[in-house]
Amino acid sequence: MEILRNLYRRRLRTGLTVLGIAVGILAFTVMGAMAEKFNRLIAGGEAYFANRIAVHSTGGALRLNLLGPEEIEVMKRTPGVRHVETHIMMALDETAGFELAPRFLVGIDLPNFARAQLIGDEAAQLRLARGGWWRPGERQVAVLGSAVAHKMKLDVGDTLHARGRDFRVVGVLQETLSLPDGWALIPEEDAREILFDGSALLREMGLDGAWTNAYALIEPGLGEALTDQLAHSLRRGYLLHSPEQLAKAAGTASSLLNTAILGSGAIAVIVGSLAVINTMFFAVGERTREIGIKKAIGAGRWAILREFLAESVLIGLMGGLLGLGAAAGLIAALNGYAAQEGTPVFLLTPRLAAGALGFATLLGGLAGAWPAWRAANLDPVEALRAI
Amino acid sequence: MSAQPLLEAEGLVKEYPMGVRALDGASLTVGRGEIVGIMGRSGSGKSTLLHILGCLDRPDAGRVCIDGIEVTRLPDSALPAIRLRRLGFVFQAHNLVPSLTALENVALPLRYLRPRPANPYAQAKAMLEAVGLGDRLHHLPGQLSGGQQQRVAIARALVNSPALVLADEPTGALDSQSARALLRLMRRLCQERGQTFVVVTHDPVVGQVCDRIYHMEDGRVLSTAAG
Repeated sequence: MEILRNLYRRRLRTGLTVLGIAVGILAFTVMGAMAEKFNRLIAGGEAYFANRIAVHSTGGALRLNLLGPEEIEVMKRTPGVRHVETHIMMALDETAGFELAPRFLVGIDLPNFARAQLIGDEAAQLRLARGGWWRPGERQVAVLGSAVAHKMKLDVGDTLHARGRDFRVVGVLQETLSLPDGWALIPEEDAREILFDGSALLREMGLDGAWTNAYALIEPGLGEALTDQLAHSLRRGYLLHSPEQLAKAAGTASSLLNTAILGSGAIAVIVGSLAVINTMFFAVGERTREIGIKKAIGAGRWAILREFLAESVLIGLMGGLLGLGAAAGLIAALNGYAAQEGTPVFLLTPRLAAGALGFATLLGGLAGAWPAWRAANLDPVEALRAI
Repeated sequence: MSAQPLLEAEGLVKEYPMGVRALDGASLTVGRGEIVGIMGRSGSGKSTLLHILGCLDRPDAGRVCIDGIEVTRLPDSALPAIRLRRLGFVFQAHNLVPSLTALENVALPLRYLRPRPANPYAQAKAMLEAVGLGDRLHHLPGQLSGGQQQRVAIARALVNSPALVLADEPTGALDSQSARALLRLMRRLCQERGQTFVVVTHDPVVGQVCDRIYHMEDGRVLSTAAG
C-alpha cells in the first residue's frame, strides 16, 4: 500500500516512466509475436521436411525437365527411400504478384498422397477441419488449406476459381501454421492439364506422368547420403534439398529473426531502464529525509533496499502489463488486417506474453537496483539533515 | 535515579573535516525513568551528541553504554537492531513518513522487527490512543496539525517499548500551546511507563519538565542542574 501511495504521489513521473517501459515492451512483444509466427512457420516446415528429400524441377520456358516416371522410379528403387510423394505445383493466381503467404495449386494423386500421409511424420500430417477428400476418379474438386479458404472466403460447397477453371470445394484443412495452409489440393489430372495448357510442346508430347516436385520419404538419418546418391542417379536439371540443408536454412532464418527480437529487446532495455533509473534516483533524492527517519527508527540496509526495489519492480510490472495490453490490441488489429490477405502475421503465444511481462519486471528491478543500493547506503545523519 | 544508569557516555570526541571539533570530551549519565535535557547554543554539539547516543553516528574517541551494552564497540551492522529494540527517536519536524497514515507510521518500527509481532497494528492503535489520537488513525501526516504530528512521532518512538527515547528539539516547530501539551504528554508517559527521555533543546520551557539539565558549550558538557 505504501508503495502504491509513493508512486501515486509522483504520478506524472511514474506515469511517464511506466509509459516508457510500456513502449519498449510493446515493440518487444510485437516483434516477438512476428518472430513467433515465423519461427512456428519455420518449425512447421522443418517438421514437414524432417525425413524428406525435396526434388524440384528447375522450371524453364519449355518445362522439359519435369520429373517423369523414370525419375520417380529411380527414386523409389534407391535403398532407404520408403515412398515417393509426387506433386504438380503452380501459383494459384499468376496475376497476384507478391504475396506474404504465397498460394499454390497442388495436384496430387490421392492414393500416393494418402500413403505418404500414412508413413510420414506426425508433424507432416494434414487433417480436415471440414468436409472430406474427393472420391477416386472425381475431377474439378479441391481441398483447401486454411489460409487459402480464409483469404478467398471459401468453404465446403463453394467454387474455387483458379487458372481459368472452377473447382468445387469438398474439404478445408485444419491450420498447420506451415506451407500447406497456402495450398489448394486438386486432382493430379486437373493440375497436369493446367500445366500443359501453358506449353504447346508438352501438350503435343501428351505425357501421362509428369510432376514438378517429388518428395522422397526416407529412413531417418540418411538425408545427406541419399541426397548425394539421388543427385548422381537423376539426370541434371533438378534441385535437391536434403532435410539437413532445409533445417540449416531454417536455422539461419530463425537466428536472424531471433537477433531482431534481441535487438528490439535491447532498445527496450536501454529506454526503459534509463527511465526507471531516472525516476528512482529522483525518488531517493526526494525521500532522503524519510530514509533517514526509517534508518533512525531501526530499518536496516536490506529493508530500505527492498522498499525501493519493490517500487521499481512494480513500475516495471505496470509498464509490462500496459505494454503487453497495447501489444495484444495492436496484434489483434494487425492480424485482423493481415487475415484478409490469408495469413495472420503475428502470434502472441503464452510463452511470449509471460516472457515480456517477466522481462519488464526484471528490467524494473535491475534498473532500480542502483538507486535502491544508494538509498540503502545513505548515511542516516546526512539523510536526517535533508529537508 | 537507580544505581545502574541506563545511559553512560564518557569522553566523547567527534571531529568533522576542516578540523571542526563538535564534541570535545563530552560525558554524561542518565538514569532509568528520567527526563534529561541537553541545552546549549547552536553549534555547541547537542545534535552531534544526540546522534552518537542514538547510534546514528560514531565518536572518534570515547564510549557509550546503553542498557549495559557498549554500543561504540559494536559493528555497523548491529546498530540498526540496537536502534530498533532499545531506542526511540523524535525529531523536530518533517518527522513522519508522508505516504503513511498515523497508524502505519506508528506501526513502522514493528514492521522492521524480526520476528514480526502478531498484530502490529493493534499495538500501534493502542499507542496512538495513549497519546490521545485514537480518532486520527487513518489520517496522513499532511492532514494533522504540527502538535498532532509530534504526538504521532512520540507514539512511534514508544511503540517498541524502548529503553530510551531521544528527542531532538521536539517542540521546535510547535506553537507554545502545542509545545506545552506535548511536554505534559512526555511527563505523563515518563510517570506512567517509567520511560526515559533525553531531550535536546534550547527552549527554556522544555527545561521546566526535565529532571536534570546538562548544559553544553563548545563540545563539552559543562554542568548539570535540576530542572
